[in-house]
Amino acid sequence: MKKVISVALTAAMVVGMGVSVLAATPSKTVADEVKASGSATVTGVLGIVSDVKVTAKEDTAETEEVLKDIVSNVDLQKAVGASEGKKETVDVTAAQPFEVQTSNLLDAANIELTVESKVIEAAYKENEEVVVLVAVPTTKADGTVTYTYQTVTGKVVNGKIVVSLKGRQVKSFGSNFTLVALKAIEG
Amino acid sequence: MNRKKQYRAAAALTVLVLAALLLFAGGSWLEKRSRKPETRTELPQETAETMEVDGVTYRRRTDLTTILVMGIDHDSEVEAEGSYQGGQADFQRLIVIDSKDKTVRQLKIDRDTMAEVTVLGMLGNPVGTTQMQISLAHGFGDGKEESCGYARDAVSRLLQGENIDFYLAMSLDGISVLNDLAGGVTVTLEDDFSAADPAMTRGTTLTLHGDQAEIFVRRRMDVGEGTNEARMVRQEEYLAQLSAQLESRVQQDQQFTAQVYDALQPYLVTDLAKGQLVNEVWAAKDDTVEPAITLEGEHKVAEDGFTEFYPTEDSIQKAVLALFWEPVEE
Repeated sequence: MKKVISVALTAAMVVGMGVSVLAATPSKTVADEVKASGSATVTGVLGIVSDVKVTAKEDTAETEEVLKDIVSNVDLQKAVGASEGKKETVDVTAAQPFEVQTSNLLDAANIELTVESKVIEAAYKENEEVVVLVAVPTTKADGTVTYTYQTVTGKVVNGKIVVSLKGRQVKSFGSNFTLVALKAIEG
Repeated sequence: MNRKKQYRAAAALTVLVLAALLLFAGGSWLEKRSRKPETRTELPQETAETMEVDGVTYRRRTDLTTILVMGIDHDSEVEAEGSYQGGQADFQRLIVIDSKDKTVRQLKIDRDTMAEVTVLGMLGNPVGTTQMQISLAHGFGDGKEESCGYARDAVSRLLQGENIDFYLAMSLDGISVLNDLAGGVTVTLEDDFSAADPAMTRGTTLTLHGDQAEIFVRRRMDVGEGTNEARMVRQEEYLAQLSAQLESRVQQDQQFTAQVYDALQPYLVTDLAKGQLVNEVWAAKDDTVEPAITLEGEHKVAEDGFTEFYPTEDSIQKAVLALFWEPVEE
């Protein structure tokens, strides 16, 4: 039977609306999904004797500051090792601040930092090597903060970026630093 | 927070319904304006293809126009900043207009359907895809055309790569505008809304203006019994009244539809030109409308507490066949 679309489709919309409203439960937002989280472990015998605590922080302001600085001051193409003349787009898949509290971290101790998020899950394949910048803040006498960057390599394990460091590296970073994972996009 | 999300979801859906009403009003206006029926825009047609499923040969339908309609949980005045604030498409429906068969087919898409979604890096570039709730696809990007494109891609991937011609997305805050353009809707309040507006006390008959319309259709938790069901009854009454008033205004004034279009423009994102949109709806006004298809599958609550809907492959296949293919008669 022919129906006038305005009536039928309106009715369908109303019914659809009703069903959806009934089913209204908390739904995830993109912010929930892309938020990175981190963890740290000190492994091995030297880890036992080391007195160290490394924790991932939820510091949005610090993350934003690092991102702003990277966009302004860092040659991301150079950071990912793009060959000269090859135009690759480079993006940041995660920026995760860490805090280190240590009194006796041995240089040879093994420290694993892990960062995970849906962006990481989407961006990399399992076992893929990931270029990670370590943003180390320095506060000047006038209170302004500047960042220096070191490049380390992470690896994707079980969908998470794992960065394996030695105690001496972590000590060189200081008590606060942010891991910034990069992704080169071809084309 | 959850309450707010629920209000916003309901409102987004309401806006969408209102948008539909508007389009139909637009069609009516064209009917009065022109003695000749408008012809539908000719679109590039798919090459005839066939495929066999369970021993049945299917041929791709031709003369299809597909429109992804979305209700966005996002205020139009809020500019998206960064890569992740486009707003969720909490309401999604695919409308397939078959001009050859004079039939309109629809697919309801649960916002929690798990699908391959394009994910952006923190600097705004697509870095890959991963599985997440399909409503989030629109959340990546600028909240405008870019976000709609990602939403369309996600639905296309869900439907085995079928092409979607156009999208039409409306933000939730157009309700009050449409209400006022219709001259305000007169209602008798069965419940007390005075917590939101002192004039909206139980038993009062009043013509809703401005934010009152939004309060009337969105408010729930502190109104009456506070259930979704009660709010739905309210919404349907409101929509019926609004629909009648819009139709009346269109009949009185041919320019009314154009005014409404202009007024709603800030709340609408579409890649379908205004005239084309009206033409499509107008051309399909007498078509047979088939009941909307719903994907079958399983709802789960994930470890993070959010709902996930996993449609079955069989269900997706059936939907694709019903929407885009037809059995070849022996």
